[in-house]
Amino acid sequence: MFKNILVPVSSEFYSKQVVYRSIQLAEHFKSTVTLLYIIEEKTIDQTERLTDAHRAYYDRIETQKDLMRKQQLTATQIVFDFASHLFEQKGLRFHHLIQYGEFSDVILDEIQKKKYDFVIMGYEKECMLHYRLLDELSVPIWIEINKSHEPRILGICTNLAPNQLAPMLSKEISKALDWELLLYYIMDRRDPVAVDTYGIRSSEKTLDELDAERQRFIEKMKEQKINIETVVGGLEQEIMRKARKYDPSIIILGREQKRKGALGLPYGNIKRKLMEKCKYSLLFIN
Amino acid sequence: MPFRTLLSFQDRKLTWKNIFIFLFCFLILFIFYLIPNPAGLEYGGKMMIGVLITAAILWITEPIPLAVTGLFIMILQPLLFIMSAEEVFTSFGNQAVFFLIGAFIIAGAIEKHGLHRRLALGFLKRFENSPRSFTFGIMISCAFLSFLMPEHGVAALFVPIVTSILIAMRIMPRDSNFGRISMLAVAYGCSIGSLGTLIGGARNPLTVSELAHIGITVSFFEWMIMSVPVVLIALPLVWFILQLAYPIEINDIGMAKQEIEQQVLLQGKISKNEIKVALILAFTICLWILFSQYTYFGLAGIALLGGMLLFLTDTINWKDVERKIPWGIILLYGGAITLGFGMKNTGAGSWIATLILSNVNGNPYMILLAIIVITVLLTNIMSNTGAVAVLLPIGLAIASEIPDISPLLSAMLIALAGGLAFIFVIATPANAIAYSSGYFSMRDLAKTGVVANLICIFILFAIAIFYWMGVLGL
Repeated sequence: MFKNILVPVSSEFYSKQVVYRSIQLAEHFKSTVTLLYIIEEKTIDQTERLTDAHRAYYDRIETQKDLMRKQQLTATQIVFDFASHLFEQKGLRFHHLIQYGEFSDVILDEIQKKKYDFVIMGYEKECMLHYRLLDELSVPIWIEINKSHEPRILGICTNLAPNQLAPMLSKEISKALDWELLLYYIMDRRDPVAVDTYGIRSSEKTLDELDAERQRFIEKMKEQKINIETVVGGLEQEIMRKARKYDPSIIILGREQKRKGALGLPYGNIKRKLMEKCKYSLLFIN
Repeated sequence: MPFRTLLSFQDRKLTWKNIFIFLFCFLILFIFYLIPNPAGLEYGGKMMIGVLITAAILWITEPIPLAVTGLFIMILQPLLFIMSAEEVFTSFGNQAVFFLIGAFIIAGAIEKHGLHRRLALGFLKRFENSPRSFTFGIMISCAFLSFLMPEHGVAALFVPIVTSILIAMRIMPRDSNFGRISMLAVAYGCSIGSLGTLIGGARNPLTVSELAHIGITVSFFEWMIMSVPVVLIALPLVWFILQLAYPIEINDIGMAKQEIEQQVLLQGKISKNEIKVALILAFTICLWILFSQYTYFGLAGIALLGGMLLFLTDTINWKDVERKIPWGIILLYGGAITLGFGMKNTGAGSWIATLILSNVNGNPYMILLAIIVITVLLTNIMSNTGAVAVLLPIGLAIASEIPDISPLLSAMLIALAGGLAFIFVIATPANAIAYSSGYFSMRDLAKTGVVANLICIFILFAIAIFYWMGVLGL
């Protein structure tokens, strides 16, 4: 299913857990994993900006070179070395590379250059991540949060997202990791639209129409032996409520298309909010 | 090679945010221009407060480099008819500027010949007994070197050295408390050490210069007598906080020893030039300690003499000076000094002090504590020198209103508290340089930074009362 997995790690934030997770998935899907170490441009620039009055230009250049050299060494002698050892033990295909740039830009650039079909990365709120990455990526992105939870998957379908991938992928990952699967269809009555398979929102629907759509979807899933329970309420609130109740190791969500506010601005980026508030790993399927 | 380096720095762009900040600053100045002069303050004083607020906003938000804000402050004063251009630029030309230039020449020679690296490795070698003592060694080494050269240079020297050691020890970034403490020790060691002498940070000569404007002379040695106890008490306590916050998980320091050994070997034998620089440095420090209080010698004269000796012994040349002197700090300093001069001359400083004192309880101890706390808060969100520049004129004016607080006491509190930027990465270059290693998170820094700041506030307050006031009679 996932032939090429990209695992970007930043010089600003590195978590061993993403490497372990990529090994777990690569073992099941027989994937090739590429570990991409990104020397974060913003931290180097931040250092430069803060020292520009205090240190001479040539000294700053030297410091920048020094810092980047050390980050390269950290990547090759520690991060790659550690990962290579684990991948070799499991007999998995593994590549690694170093890039310099802004974390989100480098990932997007790399995905354009090579055909990756899955991304796994760590996350820390204080780090310099552009949240647009989550919307611009055309492949599923797994955000690994370094905390242990129950071996359970919380798969979310909703009237606000195209649901063709989320249930299938949830099932597949549940099989791969041997985790219990809980699937919910959240019907957001405050935003009564349906989103088609291309991610396009319909015009406003009546609650009966929404309910009929939901019913059709659940029936279709039943035919494929996937059971989905229904919940009515706000998408973000219900996800959090269910997550707190079941303490899942991962929450899987499709490309939600929430109502836009004035000037086409979203009322709130659900992905961003989930990442910032949520202590569970997330898988966004775009 | 998949790795591409971008060695040209990204310039600050004229973004909408920056334009907005500028417009906001002009709006503030315009409002100050329109409002009537408050009782007890003339036009110049009123506008000077506007300039002070503008400077604070620009130093916090940094839409332009800090040094350019320094220039902006200088030109605003004559442009707004606060002071004549003659007065403004004359206030810039004082001996502290030349002290900084001389000190930078000496620091440049130290760096050119790698004497700082040799000293750093020599120090670290003495702390190889255990991981704990090693982290203490890093702090002490950084602090000691920050006595001899600017703290930012020390941080830039130590971060690669410590990273090499951590790599040799196979310490994974973010995965080890030892890695975390080692890097935090660099950041905090440099900041604390920079309080110790006039060379450590530009805010120190700035303070001496502001004091000179009101007729108080502080020599190199007198500064050390006041500040070194703070360093000696703060260093072990902050180190202890680090140990409590992040218990070290490793026992073996063998790989670190080997790496230091290897780096010492790479340094080779001490060169003739290193010996010359070391001797000139020692000679200059002796002169600073013994003679800087004499009017006909002074801090700047000795610093420049040291610089001259480096030229005469061929240990530095003009090209090195051009490469090594950060003119930005001189301009930032210029802006800061003219700001203080303007605040004093227009009566704006006294007016703010009167306003503050009429609204708060005049208990001198509470005021001293408030001065420290406000300075620490401000230095954590803006440049250290900027924070000291903004607060010094007000602090000196407050001291002139309260008999129990001497201007020297107030100025020293602001200068030393100005170096305690422990909480945020953006607070000081040393934090940012250490953070770029990837071994600690912003949360780690904030967690220990808050506690370290509280402890240091207490230390500074206690030293001010029991040592400066009680023993030294400040």
